[in-house]
Amino acid sequence: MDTGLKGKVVLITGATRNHGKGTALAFAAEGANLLICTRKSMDLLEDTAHLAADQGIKVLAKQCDVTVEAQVSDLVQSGLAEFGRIDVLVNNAGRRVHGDVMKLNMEEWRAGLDVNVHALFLTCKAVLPGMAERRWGRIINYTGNSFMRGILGPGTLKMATLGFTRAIAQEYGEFDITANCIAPWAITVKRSAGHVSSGMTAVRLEGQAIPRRGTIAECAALAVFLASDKAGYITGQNYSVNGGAYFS
Amino acid sequence: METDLKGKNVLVTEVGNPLGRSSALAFAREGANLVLGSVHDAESLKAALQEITALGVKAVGAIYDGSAENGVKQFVQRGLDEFGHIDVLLNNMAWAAAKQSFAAMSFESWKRVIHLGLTGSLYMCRAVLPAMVERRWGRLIQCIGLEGFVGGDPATSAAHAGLIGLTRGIASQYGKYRITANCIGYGGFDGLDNFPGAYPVSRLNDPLARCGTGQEVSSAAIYLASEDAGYITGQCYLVNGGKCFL
Repeated sequence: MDTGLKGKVVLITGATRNHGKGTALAFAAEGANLLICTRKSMDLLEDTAHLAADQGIKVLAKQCDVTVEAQVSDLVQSGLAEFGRIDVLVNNAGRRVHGDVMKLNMEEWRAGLDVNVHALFLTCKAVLPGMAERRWGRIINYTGNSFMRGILGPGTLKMATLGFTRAIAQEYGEFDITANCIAPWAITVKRSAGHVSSGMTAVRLEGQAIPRRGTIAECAALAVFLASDKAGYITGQNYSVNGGAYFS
Repeated sequence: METDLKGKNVLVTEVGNPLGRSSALAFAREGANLVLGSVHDAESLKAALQEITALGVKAVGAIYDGSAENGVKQFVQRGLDEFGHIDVLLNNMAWAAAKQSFAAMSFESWKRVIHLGLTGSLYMCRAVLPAMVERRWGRLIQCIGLEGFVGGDPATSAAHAGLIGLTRGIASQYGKYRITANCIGYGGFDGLDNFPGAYPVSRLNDPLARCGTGQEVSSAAIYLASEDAGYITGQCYLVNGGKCFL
């Protein structure tokens, strides 16, 4: 399938591991140039950059805390200086906030809100004017199936992501800009050292329509499709990649 | 229909908008006592208190700081001091904040709406839940607008959609205490979402071709709070004249 992504410029946040890295490599395989960032893991980001550059595309890898307005603005400015435009924004950076509603640590809650919700405002604010001017753009935000399962922290923050995505879809559709969410579930990912899984998020594969874990590549393929010219009439949607764990 | 709400204690926020006011009155007509609050509208609060006590039930009200967890706790404590417990929360942070497009919205104003609408509602749930757990009964009802489904003001879209996630999370965690948590998604009500700007109501379906009335949304709140609705949880019931379908 010709995705029309060759030569396009894609900004991906949190492109060090898992979905961020996989999405970056999938876009690189389509011939898109990349602007990728991380808050602190520059060595991992450089790995992603080298692997992507092997596909013969240009990559700019920058350190950026996407919750800080000035840093997001600097990131996008350097991307524009290098490539002249940004066509696709993939908001992948995220932070999980777990726990019973009464025991939520409010500092953790605020940090989760910063990365999962406020950062999207900042990145969209920085790239949308240019997309509107060129009358083409794609916003892709990673959510998850947590709000279908009633997992409180991620479910709340990712529903907020979806609400925001729909507002962007509504307001920017007239510029041929689409905004959609990808909702992965039961995907094999690498967790950082010290990651504590909440019992609520345990994946049960038995009873799932496709009773196996999914792969990062299977999610990244959806990102590529949603960014392609072929997906220009899809907007405001939340597409699951979940092996049929939940139907919605 | 027997709602079993007589003598129950119901906390309703933002009685200044038609939704909060008509819901508070509807609960009063069922014989429930009311704790009323607003973050800004002292005049409407006073009027609602008068109207409700005239119906022969007890009511207390306060202006409170919805942006600080302590402010919310103090407000809820006021109700607990008066009535001993709170059975139902109708959280209605749907006040008419100035709606804006994304292009016009500042980061500061975005953060303010998210903080008051989403984190403020989280504070409210945390303030009322412990006493409900103790009594093994409770109803949390969040009122949200159309924006979370169809777009519109981006901060409202995010905050209101977030409340669906919060509601489902609480439903999952607190069902074992016979506490249900649901959303009412209203839309098409006069004075609530008829405003200029980026809001797309005019582009939506409108099968009933009219505005909704206060009673038509408060009746949904009464039902969800009733004993008979004890097996409904984690849901979002739309009362919007068919403007959008889930």
